[in-house]
Amino acid sequence: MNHLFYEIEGELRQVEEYLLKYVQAGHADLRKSFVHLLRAGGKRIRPAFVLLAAKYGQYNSSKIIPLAAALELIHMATLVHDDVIDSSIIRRGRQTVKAKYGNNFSLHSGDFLFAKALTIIENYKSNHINQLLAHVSVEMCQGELEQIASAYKLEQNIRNYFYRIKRKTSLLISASCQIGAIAAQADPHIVKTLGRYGHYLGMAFQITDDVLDFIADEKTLGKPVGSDLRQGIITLPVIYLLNCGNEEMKKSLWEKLNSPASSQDDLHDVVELIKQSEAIPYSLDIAGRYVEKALKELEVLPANEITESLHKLAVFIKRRQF
Amino acid sequence: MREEKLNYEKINIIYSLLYFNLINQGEETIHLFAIIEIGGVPMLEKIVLEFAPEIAVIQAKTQKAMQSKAGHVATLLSLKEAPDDYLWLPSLSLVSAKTLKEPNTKVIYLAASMQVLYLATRIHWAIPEDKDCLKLKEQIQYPILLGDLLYSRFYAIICRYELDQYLAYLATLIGNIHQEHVLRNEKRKLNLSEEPHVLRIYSLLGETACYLAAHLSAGKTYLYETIKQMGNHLGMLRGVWEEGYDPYPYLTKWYRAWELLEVLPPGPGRECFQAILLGLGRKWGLERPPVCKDLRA
Repeated sequence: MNHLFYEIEGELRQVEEYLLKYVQAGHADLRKSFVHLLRAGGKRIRPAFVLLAAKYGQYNSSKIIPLAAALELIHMATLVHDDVIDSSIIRRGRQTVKAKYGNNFSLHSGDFLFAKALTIIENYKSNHINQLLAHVSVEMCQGELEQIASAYKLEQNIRNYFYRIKRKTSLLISASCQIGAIAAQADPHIVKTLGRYGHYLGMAFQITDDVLDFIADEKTLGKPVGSDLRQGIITLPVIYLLNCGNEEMKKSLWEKLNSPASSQDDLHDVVELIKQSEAIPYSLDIAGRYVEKALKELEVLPANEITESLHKLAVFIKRRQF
Repeated sequence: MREEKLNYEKINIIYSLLYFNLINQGEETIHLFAIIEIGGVPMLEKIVLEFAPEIAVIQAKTQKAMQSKAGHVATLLSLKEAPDDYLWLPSLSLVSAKTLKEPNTKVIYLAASMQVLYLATRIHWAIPEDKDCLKLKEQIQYPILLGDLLYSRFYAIICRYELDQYLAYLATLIGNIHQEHVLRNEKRKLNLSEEPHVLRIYSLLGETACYLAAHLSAGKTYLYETIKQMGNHLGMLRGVWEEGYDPYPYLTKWYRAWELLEVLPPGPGRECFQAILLGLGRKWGLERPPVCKDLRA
């Protein structure tokens, strides 16, 4: 997706260099684990949104790059902890920090990354940025708690799902868009619009991610197909089928999913059932509607190259296959 | 090995209570009880009497920090030990401030944030390795997220009560604590003593709680440093006591803390510091050094 970021290609490279340089401080194993994390790659959409949003204000790349890096550090910290919580061995096609170094190390390294992010953010001396990020951090944890509390529970509705994905993904993307603009002292009206754009796009991004968990191949995903289901995480395609599928399908799903002890064969059957059902087009349609909402927000922003980039990003998220 | 076993026990307690509540209260009000076994000997009775209203605010703030959204996962901290004991860190902040002047609102919220940070650290500290134990995965999920939630709430308290000026200092503290944990685990794997790293964590916590509270109380600069050193020593001694280490190699810290006490201005703050030192001394069968005056006389 790098072609979408040509406006900020150079700055994104600098964010990467900043991250690499920044994580050099600390204990040798911590350094190695961060380099391992960085080399695993990732879309870097959060720093990209910080940089693009900052261009609506008084843009100063050297000022904004550390902030963009801090957002990626927060995201990395959550990934490291998520892998311990989910006992994940593979992420982005590479061994996770948890698999390589164990639970204790991963927890401490995640907390260390979070602390490093706060150290960078503090330099901006902005209570507005701090309040926003603190709120997002709290809500992200609430979302995660909700996710594990609702694992293997099939009585969920779409509202429960939206509650979770808003906290899991959308809030941090929305915050990335806002804090870039806040740090560059953009017009408050633009800050709010970008926040809404980020929220809608984040929702679309997560729904697409959840669909790809069923339809993409293992190599593209960088993790096994149906990983969410294996963790008991009930996503939109499953909720759709459980509520709108025919009676026979519903019964079969209930039987196969109603226990943490479901066999691998059962899960494989469910993945196949979902792939062949209406659940995938339905979920993609919902994601598409969120993208439309995001695009609508862009209409009130100045018509320039940055808005054009944000437009392309939204369209990409609608069509993405990885 | 002893600590490893203890950690497993702690996690088991967390899981059992969570399981109990899932069954008995349904999904609407799930309570997560995180039991942190810290110890049982009250040593801060004087402080509880001196700072009753402030401690009530800190306790309320801590309880609130432990709660998740109503109707989702409500979390509640249930601590086995006496409240005056588990609040040792915020108590140090209150006493430090009182040494210079009456603790203001900011000092109380700083103390509350230190308590939330401390609990987050303790919870993540207690997470064991899994080693292919699948059941453990279910047992550690909530405590990990509870620790994360507390760190986030700590950040929120700092921002909400305009304590941002200390964010860099506190973020560095968190980074250092977790770096010490990594070093400690490394030593453990090599069968070397992990004691210096554990005690470093306690002394960093004590030092920060005292120093920032003194700084907020705007006293004389030389007193900040004295109070900071006092916090460092008391934090370390607290760690020795809490972890059940042999106190003998650390008694110099106890004596040094008595010397620092002599530099502090007389008043209720200094008396509270003295009460802490006497409490620790009693635990280890030590008497007040003869050169130090009894401030209660």
